Amino acid sequence: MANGLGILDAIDNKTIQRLEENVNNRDVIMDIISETFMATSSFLKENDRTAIASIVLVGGWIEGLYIGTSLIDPNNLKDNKLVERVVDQKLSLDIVLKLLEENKNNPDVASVYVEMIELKKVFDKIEIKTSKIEAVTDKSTNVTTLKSTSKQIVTPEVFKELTDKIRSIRSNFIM
Amino acid sequence: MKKILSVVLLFMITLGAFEASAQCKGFAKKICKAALDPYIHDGNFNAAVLTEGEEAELYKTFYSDTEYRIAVCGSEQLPKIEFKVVDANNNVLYSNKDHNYATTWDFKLSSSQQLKIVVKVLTSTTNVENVQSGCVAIMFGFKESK
Repeated sequence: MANGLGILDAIDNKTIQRLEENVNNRDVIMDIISETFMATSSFLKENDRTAIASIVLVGGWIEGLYIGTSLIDPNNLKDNKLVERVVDQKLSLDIVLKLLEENKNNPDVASVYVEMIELKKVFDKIEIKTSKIEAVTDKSTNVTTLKSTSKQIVTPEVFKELTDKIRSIRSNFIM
Repeated sequence: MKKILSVVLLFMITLGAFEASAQCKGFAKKICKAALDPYIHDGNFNAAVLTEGEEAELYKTFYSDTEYRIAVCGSEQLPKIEFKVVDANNNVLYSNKDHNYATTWDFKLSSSQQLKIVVKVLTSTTNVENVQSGCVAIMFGFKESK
């Protein structure tokens, strides 16, 4: 895939080897993914391929949603952290759309954009209610907690629709 | 499997006026990234050339169960940089103005939120001819919340 996208120059063998050697080390994997993301994104932008960069970014996001929804039984959504994290992605969808809008004159981006609008229609059926945020700082650690409560309202039917939509978008990506 | 997934979904998509030029990206990488340690850099270099008095903003989704560090830095010739974090209702949750213009802020959330980060280069002179421009970078680091 990296070869097809012309970004192999941004990913060296050392990175792949490091990834293989640390497959069970979450922190190292996070670090490698961050570095690789930075390298490929910069590589594409510096080569005037921002349209491809936006598609790569959205493709990665859809893949995460695909894996996540594939692991969830729509009839068993209660108290499931993974469901929560999938529903949280609704918060990022407007950012995704704005990002694609910037490159909508590219036909591939335009096609992904239409699919994201369809995805938004499904996400809009999910409600996220959030209370007022209160910032509380722990003086000993100097870490601030942004305290609020959030309620996600999603039915099994809507979650199934979301899963199907993500699956369909993902199929178009890998075709 | 779920662990890997959370890594994938953690990839926070940002949007804003920050489009790193090659010059500013180098600055962000050399100077600003170190300020994120021991947090893991999220892979984005949000950097732009700003002039004294100029303001820029970006939007980012932050997730519960994750601890974050925001690091803001500017070129040496620039005056102090103010940054604030604002919620969807425009309430200011943090302003470094109240903390002696600190360049980093560590925080976590009890529920996921999309927040806006606004940065402003302060003005050091009233003489228009002496107004300075330089790179300003906002970087994000994260780690799993304990």
